[in-house]
Amino acid sequence: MSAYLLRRVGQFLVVLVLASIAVWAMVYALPGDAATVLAGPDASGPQIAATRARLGLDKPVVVQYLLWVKGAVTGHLGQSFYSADSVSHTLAERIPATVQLAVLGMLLALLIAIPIGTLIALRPRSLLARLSHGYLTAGLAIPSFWLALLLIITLAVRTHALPATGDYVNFWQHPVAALRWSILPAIAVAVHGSCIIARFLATSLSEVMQRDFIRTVRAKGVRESRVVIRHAMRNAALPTVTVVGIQLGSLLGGTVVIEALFNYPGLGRLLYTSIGQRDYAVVQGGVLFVVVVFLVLNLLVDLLYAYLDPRIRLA
Amino acid sequence: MRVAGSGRLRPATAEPHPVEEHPGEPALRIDDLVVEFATPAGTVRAVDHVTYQVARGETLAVVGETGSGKSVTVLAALGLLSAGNVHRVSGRAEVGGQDLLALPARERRTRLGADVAMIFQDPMSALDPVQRVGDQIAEALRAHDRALTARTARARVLELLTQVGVPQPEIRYDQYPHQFSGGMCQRVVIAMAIANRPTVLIADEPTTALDVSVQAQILELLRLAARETGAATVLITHDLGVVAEMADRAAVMYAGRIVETAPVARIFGRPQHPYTASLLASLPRLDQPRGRLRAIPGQPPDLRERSAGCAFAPRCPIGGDLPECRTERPLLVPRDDGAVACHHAGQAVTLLPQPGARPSAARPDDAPAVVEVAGLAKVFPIRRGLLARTVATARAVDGVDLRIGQGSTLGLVGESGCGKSTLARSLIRLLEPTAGSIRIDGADLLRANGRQLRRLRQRVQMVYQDPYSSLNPRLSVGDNAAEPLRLAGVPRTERRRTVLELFEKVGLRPEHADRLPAEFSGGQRQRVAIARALAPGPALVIFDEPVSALDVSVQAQVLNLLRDLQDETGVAYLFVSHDLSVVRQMADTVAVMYLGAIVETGAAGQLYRRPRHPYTRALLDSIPVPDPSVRRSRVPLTGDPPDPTAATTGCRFRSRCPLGRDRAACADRTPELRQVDGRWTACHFAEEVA
Amino acid sequence: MTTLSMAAERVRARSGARTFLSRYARSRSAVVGAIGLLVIVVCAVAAPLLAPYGPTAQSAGSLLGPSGSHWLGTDDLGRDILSRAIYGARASLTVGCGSAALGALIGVPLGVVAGYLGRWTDSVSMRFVDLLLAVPTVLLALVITAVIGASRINLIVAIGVAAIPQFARLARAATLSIRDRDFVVASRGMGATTPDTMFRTVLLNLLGPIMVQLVITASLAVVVEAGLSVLGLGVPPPTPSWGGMLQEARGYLYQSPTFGVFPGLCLAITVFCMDRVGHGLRIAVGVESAGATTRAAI
Repeated sequence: MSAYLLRRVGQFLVVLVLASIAVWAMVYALPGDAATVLAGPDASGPQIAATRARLGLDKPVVVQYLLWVKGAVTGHLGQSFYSADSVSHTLAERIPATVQLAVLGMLLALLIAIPIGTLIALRPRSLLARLSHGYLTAGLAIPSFWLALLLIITLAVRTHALPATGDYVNFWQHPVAALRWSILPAIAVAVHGSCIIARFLATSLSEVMQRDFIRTVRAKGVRESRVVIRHAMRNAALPTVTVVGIQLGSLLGGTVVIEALFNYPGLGRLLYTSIGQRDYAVVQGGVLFVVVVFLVLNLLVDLLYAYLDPRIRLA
Repeated sequence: MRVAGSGRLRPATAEPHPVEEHPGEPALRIDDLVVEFATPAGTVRAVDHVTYQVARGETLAVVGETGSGKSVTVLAALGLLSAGNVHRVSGRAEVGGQDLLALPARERRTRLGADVAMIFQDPMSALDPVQRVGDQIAEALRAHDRALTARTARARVLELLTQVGVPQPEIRYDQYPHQFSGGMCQRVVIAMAIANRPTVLIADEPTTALDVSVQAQILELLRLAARETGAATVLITHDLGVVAEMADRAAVMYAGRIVETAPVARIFGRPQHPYTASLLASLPRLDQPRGRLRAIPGQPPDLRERSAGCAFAPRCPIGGDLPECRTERPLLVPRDDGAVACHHAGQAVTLLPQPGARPSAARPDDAPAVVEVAGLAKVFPIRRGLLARTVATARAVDGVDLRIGQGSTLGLVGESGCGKSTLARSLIRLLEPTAGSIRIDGADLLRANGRQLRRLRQRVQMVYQDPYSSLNPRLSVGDNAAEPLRLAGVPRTERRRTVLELFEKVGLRPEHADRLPAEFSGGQRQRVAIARALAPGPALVIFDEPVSALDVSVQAQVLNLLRDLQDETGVAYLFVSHDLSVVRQMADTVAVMYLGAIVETGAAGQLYRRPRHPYTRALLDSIPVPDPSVRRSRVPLTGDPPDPTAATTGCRFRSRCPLGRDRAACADRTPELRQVDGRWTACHFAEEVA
Repeated sequence: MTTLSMAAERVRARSGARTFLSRYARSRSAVVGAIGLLVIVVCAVAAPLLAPYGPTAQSAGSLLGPSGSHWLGTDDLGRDILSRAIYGARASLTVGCGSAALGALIGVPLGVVAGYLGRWTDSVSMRFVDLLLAVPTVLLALVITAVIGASRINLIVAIGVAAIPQFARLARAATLSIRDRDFVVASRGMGATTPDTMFRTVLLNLLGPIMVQLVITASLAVVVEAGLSVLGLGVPPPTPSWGGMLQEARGYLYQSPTFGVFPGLCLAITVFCMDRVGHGLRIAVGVESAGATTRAAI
């Protein structure tokens, strides 16, 4: 276990460093450097040079990178090119919105996926399982942004049941309002996620149900519910944990299109507008945040997996 | 066993195998059972009106090859068939007079594990990998006794673990299956099965996945468990040796039906069905002089193709061409102490090998050497930790010398992990040896490179164990066989011609050369692999367990083919196997390997007649002989085949040796191979082995 | 040797292609998917013959409802929605298939080499893959198109790069699972060089799962392309694309519901057909796992 743990953390650190280099270097690849953008289209040569010096862009590349990393670690990601806010502040404003949407979406997805996946694996021929299959097929085929448009057309535009745009309201302060303003985008992201998780759970659960040891447990005369919950689910949960983790990582990375469609004030829309405005400091900081969150989440999932599986825990 | 038998199950001192009468109500009665599966090719009847019964204290062996329906019968009877395509299960399966199939699932469950318990083939996969072993046994107890407290259950489990011979039960209770060896897992499964003292014990190929020495231990344990619980035992197996050793009665199954049933002595002595007799005749045996095997032609039946007549007729030496056998299915009728389903039951005995069969002569050992190996060693580093540092080494092969003469066969025997496959793979440089030399036709293989290496590689070819994985599934069988020629740069047309000739030789139709391996049966695929090995005209072919994945009847075909090919081409064989009977059938010289070293080697006849190394002796004793009249009480080797990473001093066999466990010489000095009684033996006390 | 020739008698006589087709046809939905996909491909190829109007032709008034001359009505600029949807298949299919192919072309060799050689080759390539995987697909494509600009080729590159990890991981896992199978060992034992073993013996046996993954990835790529178009970063106007049409429709959800419904339906049908074809292929080539994609598309 400890060797596995160390190796896994080592991999995490390597990818983290690579990712930070990539994110930082990305700005160099973007058209027009920060100084030209900041100084404005009419700036003269000396003006640009002055901006460069102010931003530290005249220093050697390695120094620039290290300075940026130092800033990132201490929470100083620089200044937004457009607003007066610091990048950290801009991000901090948007992150809770995205986290709330992601968590809500994930809970919804699990709420749908677990019963459906179990049902399909255990009673594949039942009517309910067939209906669930239909849901899976449709849910996987319908792009979430189109689902969003359909939801807006039917629930917001036609019936005025819910607002056509989303907004962030802190759930702990105003739970009802929070749900009202984020339920549509949450549904839009949850449907696709639920289908992926349900399909994966169904596959691994039905694979586990075919394994030899299930027959052994049944031969002992154990109740079927216990066979499923204690033995089959426990084994099928292992690979499913990974999928749920990756899904959550993607949702936390900002569901760019959904946020844009609902005008939801999350990280995804921030990044989208910042790229459009060439506000590279924000883009850099935002992408770095997304990548780090994803990597940390993956690490946690792998550690959880190792903990749950005695074959790794005791290796 | 609850109070009285708290110690380990021990063999009774008096009679090794008590002969009992089995009167009264049978404990298990399977009556007219039919099982059908729906497949894309139509409905397949896997079990076809099977009826048998077992009384308390009795052991019934159900024998058959792959697809005979022997396992499906019991799985269906217990309601454990989990395949989604079960189409029909009909008939009765009575335990204690009550039909399990008629019971609702909920009530049937209360009988499973309590009145009737099952032991499965592959012990490693029979246990839940993420639950503690002890808890899994406790579950068997608590499923039928809701009132049982966790504490009492634990105590009972520890008792059971002791009984089935799992050492240190307190520690083992909290471990997981991956921390157990295969033999230990099977002990755990047996503990589970006898936990509630069932009246019926069903063991489905309980030792097939295990080594010979472990098999002997498990069989012994099964016998004791059956006697202790007084249960009726159904032993499902393909191994006639196990049948002769364990069973009171046997039922032979073929293509989903029982073709013959009788007391074992009758089955082995006077078989009435041609299939039973043919199976016996096709078996390489340790207890009879070596001769050509009488193989059953053709392949095990394809259940998708059902004929009106006898399912065995296409392969039957008696009824193959008789109209009644082709058109009318024989019924199982009582005959001579049992029952048989054959139109010509009386004639089967003639198929048994006659005692006077001509023994085939061993080849002289003085031919010039094809391969000479000296001081060969292969050490695997064991890496652990973050930086994958080498923390230990496994000496898989540890100083081996051997020599194979032109046109002769060396048999290499040993249990899993003894290094025999590593040795074989080193000979074609699939693995780079750590030390030693390999000479092929006198040229140094390990120093060779470029062109010379390519030439030497053509001289040594290999046939692998599993015919289902040794052929490239995306290449036609012809292209598969032509691979070594392609790699040698032989032009396409010439490759094709050579392959077609070879197909003829190994008994395949040349016109099938363009088909994919998936269309062929295991035996046929192994023929393709043999053709591939012979294609470049090698001097030596290495066979790594070439028949262990094949059914008995097909195994004999392949062994005969190999002998014919050797007679024809004069190629030398290195025959690697765990199966001593098969090696005896093939080899002129035999080498026995243990923990990376050869512990005994010599001419086959001599070595088998009078083994001088205690390990050879123990291995020979472990093999169940297919003759119920010579049932022996014997002391099987204890423990598992050793772990090659463990550093040992002195004799490597010491820990399991019946002779040397407490002797100073064995602990101090590693015995070298020395000449004893006309062969080479690495034992200080070889003269004491009788 | 009569006994020996009998052994060869009962070889099941079925060619590889027929087995493939009959196994594929075992799933009715897979057959439906294949037919549907064929129709969509025909639409894309023969768009000028099938579409009643040109893709950019402005006819009658804007935002008309369905009528005899415009079955699905017209868009905000008075263009025929049906015609644009038919032409729109081109953008989706080229970008979808192109990026899946690109991802496979880079990812598969990477995965095979990493899996077969192991050790540091494996570590290095897998860290690279982890890195690509850490950035969500849309974000990665967003950044790449921001760097190199939006055009059809650039979209293929952007989405294709994001698809590399799926192929690399699949190829690596499959290579690991067959690396120690006897036929690969046999190939080495017969003296085949490492590249020969990797790219003839191993790769040949990965074609099944790769084919399945190609279809699945293509379906994902279609969605990502449309998603980018919804953000206004897809195939530049006035070239029609389904995602682009949805983006245009966003402003007129009140006036003309069909405008926002039909292009999305085309997308959903395409993804459905590809998913079903993937399902059929999976049965036909005997790939077990259905967990090919574990990641949200958007």
